[in-house]
Amino acid sequence: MLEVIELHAGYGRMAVLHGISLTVNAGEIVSLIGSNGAGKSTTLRTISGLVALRDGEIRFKGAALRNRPAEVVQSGISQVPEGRRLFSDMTVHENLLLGAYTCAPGELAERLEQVYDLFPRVRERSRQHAGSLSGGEQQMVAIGRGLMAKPQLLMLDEPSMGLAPKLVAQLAEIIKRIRGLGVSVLLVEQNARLALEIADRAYVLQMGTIVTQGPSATLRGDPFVRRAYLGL
Amino acid sequence: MSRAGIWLLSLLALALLPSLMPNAYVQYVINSSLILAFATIGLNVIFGYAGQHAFGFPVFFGVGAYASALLATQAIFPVGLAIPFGSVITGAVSAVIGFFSFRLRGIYFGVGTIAFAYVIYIIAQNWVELTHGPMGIPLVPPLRLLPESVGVVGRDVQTRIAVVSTIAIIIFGLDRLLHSPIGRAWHAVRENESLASSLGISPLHYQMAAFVLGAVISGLGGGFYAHYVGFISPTELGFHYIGVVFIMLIAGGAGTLPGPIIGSVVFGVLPELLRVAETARNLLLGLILLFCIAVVPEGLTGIWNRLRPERKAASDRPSVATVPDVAAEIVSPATQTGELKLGGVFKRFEGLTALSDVTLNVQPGEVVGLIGPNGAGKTTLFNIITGMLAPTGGDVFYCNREIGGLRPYSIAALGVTRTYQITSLFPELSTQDNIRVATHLRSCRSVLAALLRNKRFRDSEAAIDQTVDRILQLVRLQSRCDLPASALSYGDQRRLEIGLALATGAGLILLDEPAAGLNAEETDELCDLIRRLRAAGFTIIVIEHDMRMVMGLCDRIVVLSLGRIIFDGTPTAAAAHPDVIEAYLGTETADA
Amino acid sequence: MFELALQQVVNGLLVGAIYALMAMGLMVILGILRIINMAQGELYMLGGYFCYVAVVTLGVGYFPAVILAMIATAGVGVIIDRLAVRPLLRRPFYMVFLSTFAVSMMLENGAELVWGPDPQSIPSPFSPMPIVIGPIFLTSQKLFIFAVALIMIAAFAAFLRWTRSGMAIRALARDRDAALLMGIDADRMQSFTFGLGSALAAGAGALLGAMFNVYPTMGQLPLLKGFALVVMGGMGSVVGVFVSGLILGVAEGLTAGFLSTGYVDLVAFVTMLAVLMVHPEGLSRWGKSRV
Repeated sequence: MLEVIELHAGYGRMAVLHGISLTVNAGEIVSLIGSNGAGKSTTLRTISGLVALRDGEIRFKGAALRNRPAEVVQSGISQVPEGRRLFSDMTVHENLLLGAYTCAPGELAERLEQVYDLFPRVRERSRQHAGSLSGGEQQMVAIGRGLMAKPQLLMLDEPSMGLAPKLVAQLAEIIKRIRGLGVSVLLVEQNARLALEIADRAYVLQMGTIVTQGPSATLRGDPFVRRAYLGL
Repeated sequence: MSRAGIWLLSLLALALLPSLMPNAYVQYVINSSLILAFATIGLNVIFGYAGQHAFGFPVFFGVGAYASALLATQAIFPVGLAIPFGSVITGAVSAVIGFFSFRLRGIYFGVGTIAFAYVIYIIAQNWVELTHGPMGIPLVPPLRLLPESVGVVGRDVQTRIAVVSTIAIIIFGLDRLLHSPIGRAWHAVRENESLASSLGISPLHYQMAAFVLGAVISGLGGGFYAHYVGFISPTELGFHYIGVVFIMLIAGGAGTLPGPIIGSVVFGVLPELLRVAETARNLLLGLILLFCIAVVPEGLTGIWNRLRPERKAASDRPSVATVPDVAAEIVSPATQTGELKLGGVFKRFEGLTALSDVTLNVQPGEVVGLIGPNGAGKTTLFNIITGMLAPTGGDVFYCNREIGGLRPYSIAALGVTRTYQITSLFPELSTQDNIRVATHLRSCRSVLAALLRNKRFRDSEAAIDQTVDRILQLVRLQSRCDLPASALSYGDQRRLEIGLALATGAGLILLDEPAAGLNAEETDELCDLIRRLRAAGFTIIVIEHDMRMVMGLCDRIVVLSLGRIIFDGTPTAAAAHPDVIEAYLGTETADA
Repeated sequence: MFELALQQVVNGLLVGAIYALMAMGLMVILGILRIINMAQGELYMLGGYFCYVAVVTLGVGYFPAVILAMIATAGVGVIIDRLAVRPLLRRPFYMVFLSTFAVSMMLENGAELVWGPDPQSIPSPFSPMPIVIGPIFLTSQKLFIFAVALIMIAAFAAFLRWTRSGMAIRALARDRDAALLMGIDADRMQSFTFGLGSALAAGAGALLGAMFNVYPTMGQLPLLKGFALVVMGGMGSVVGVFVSGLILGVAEGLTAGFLSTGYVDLVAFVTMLAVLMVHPEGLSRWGKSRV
């Protein structure tokens, strides 16, 4: 469904991605793991069109995907950015409405219901200002907001960052449920163990290139992964 | 012909040629344009050289005019004294306005200066006892250099000669200042203020200096104006006067030496030549400004520079001969090195605790690696040590001096500097000039010395040239020393940044992800450089994600996670430590 | 004495509401595009002139003329955005400042060439009979204008708060990247915002023009006062700017009545500078000023 082919991208003179290739098939949860500075966030940002693509190609559902944010969302890819980035002076409800910016007005009610079903706590807090929620609740809202765009692929950038372990467990549950709703997931995580637990497959990114990939089960026990993180 | 020769000839022409014009009105127009050039030159100092967007700045021309006129009419100063004293008063007024304006950031600074300009305008319109209100001050005595009896040389000519001579002196002085540590500091503050600060240059100090100097120059021109026209009214302080001066500067070439003069003469004279444009003057001027901004932001002088064959870079010494990169002479820290002590440092931002209870000692000569997962607080810690942030609590000592909460330039002066995660350089300057700017703390910064070019100044500049040379060799950039920094490859730029840090003479250098974006070969070179620096007596702290590099290079590893130090010891012990492994690879949800 | 004060207060409220309307336009452009539109004052002036042309030359009724003026000026605004602003957004911000300043010079001179430098007044459909309430003299025209200004401000606030586009504008102002991830087309929103800001300024000009006169230089001071209001009221706060506008209008009125008319304009600047001294980065609901 999503094909990233030999992607090169960077900021200014700094090249961050040196030819990344990965795929996400329908119904999969795929994870992109790697240590800091490896280029994981940059990969998602490039797919979403926030960072210019210097070389390579991105294809979605068989067609070339243009590097422009509005079009990416309309094609069916939604990103929950790193650090959540909620509009903190707006209510939870308004944040969700903005998530549905590209949807037809008739579908709004249905989408909202679906998100509230997934996150009952969010329904309770829907009239509160997003900035007043706890970290875990904000993450729920952020994911809900991403789902409001009715994506076929949901990309999550380090959703576990700053969350307490109990919430991290909940997060794993939620991501699996999202897959159950028919949404494929591309998960970027620094928490490799969590990522390998949830995902079907994973790619390990180091210094802008994919150094290894494969089914999670295989990677879990792989000492190479540990080495890649700790440089041993 | 040499630069000085061109200047001399042009100024002589400006002074004498207009006398050949038959028309008295033409003489008046040329003289007014030349006088207005003072305002443009003054604006150039603050806007073109120091890079501060003081949109209301041209008001100081009018302030100088009023000051001089009042001194001559009320306090009965002789005109020859009224003009310079008037400009001193203008300088004082500008110091007050500058003091308040520089507290403002971003766009509020520019608008704040406009607000101040308007306040002055309104006061001039209404404080009738002092300024005669909208009617203005009449009968301002003229400037006379020669006694009445010498009728041959008319007043127009006298004024013009006085004006051109004064401009010549100002240009001469500015040229000397520009090619001195002061001019380099202005450029640094203009191109990259935060980098300038961490290299020991106090931005506010140099911004204020430029502000007041520009105001004094503008005020001088205002004085000449008042005594030439014989009359001064609030119009000279008004809004569209501001626009005209900006257009003259930008169209002439902001940031250059001849730009303001060319702009003033051309755009002072041009509308008069196109007499038909009398009523559509602002329309045309606006169009010209738009055109300049869109197509030729460097102005006429910029076009001229582009058309000329490629000249050597702006430095005023012959460029370093291209030699094969030799093994570099070791550069040593210029300041004494000592221990860095952090005690219980914590930092809170609006509810988020970024750092807590950070206690750390770094001995002179150590290479310490600071690692940790995303968001652990590593860069925040660097920001606190180098002064970009103040700690919420705890103390930071270097060489037994408290540095916590000091500004970056003060801390740099005490011997601590850094490089940045995202490349931070002065892109317009050449490689060697980048390093030269960074030698600010070692340079002779006296204005008088710069103007007189005395022995002390010349010796200091020669020593700096030597230092620049050695650093260029050390970071292997000698063969590219005259390229603008923006033209360097990414790897070269990263090395140049380290060169800048060395140029300050600091003994403690903090490197923030120096290997980011480098390939394996470049990373090895970087490690080699760091080892040589350690041998030369530098203390280095490195934030890095390239674990291979950190493990092989550092004497000690400090691991930060969620704002706390979770490990402090040898690299091998770090790699085996369960807390460290967990911080990096994460917890399994089963453990929750 | 008291009657004079009261009269000035009432007049001040009216003028203040119009200042606020003008400031709304400036605020929304500043918030989204992070630029100061120096031509905002001239768009205000054009609003006045377009209204004048509509009423005098085209024979349209006053209220429809105001609407027409707003639409026409919005068009001018979009053109300015495309030609003078859009191409320069990547450059240092003072470039856009100077380019809009250049546009303002051109528009002012242009208006002078087309309509002459003398003030014109927009014929009013209202009866000149004063309505006397206690010691205060009002005209039905003033009441009408005040009401329209209030309606426009309220409509603008409602637009920002409840419509999809309004939320998109607020999202872009707050966190551009996150807004892009929602699928908001930033380019289109920017042009739209410029047009909207222009329309608001034009409305203010058309309203004020009917009360007083329209003349080519009428836009200079209101621009700066509008900015002062954005500073005082806080970026992103419609209520804040509105209330600041009323306060400024009243303060100016009292200054004119009791001190001297000459120093009236000082009030806005001194207040703005005072606020900035305390909050050098400006007050903002839309996050720290990233300008």
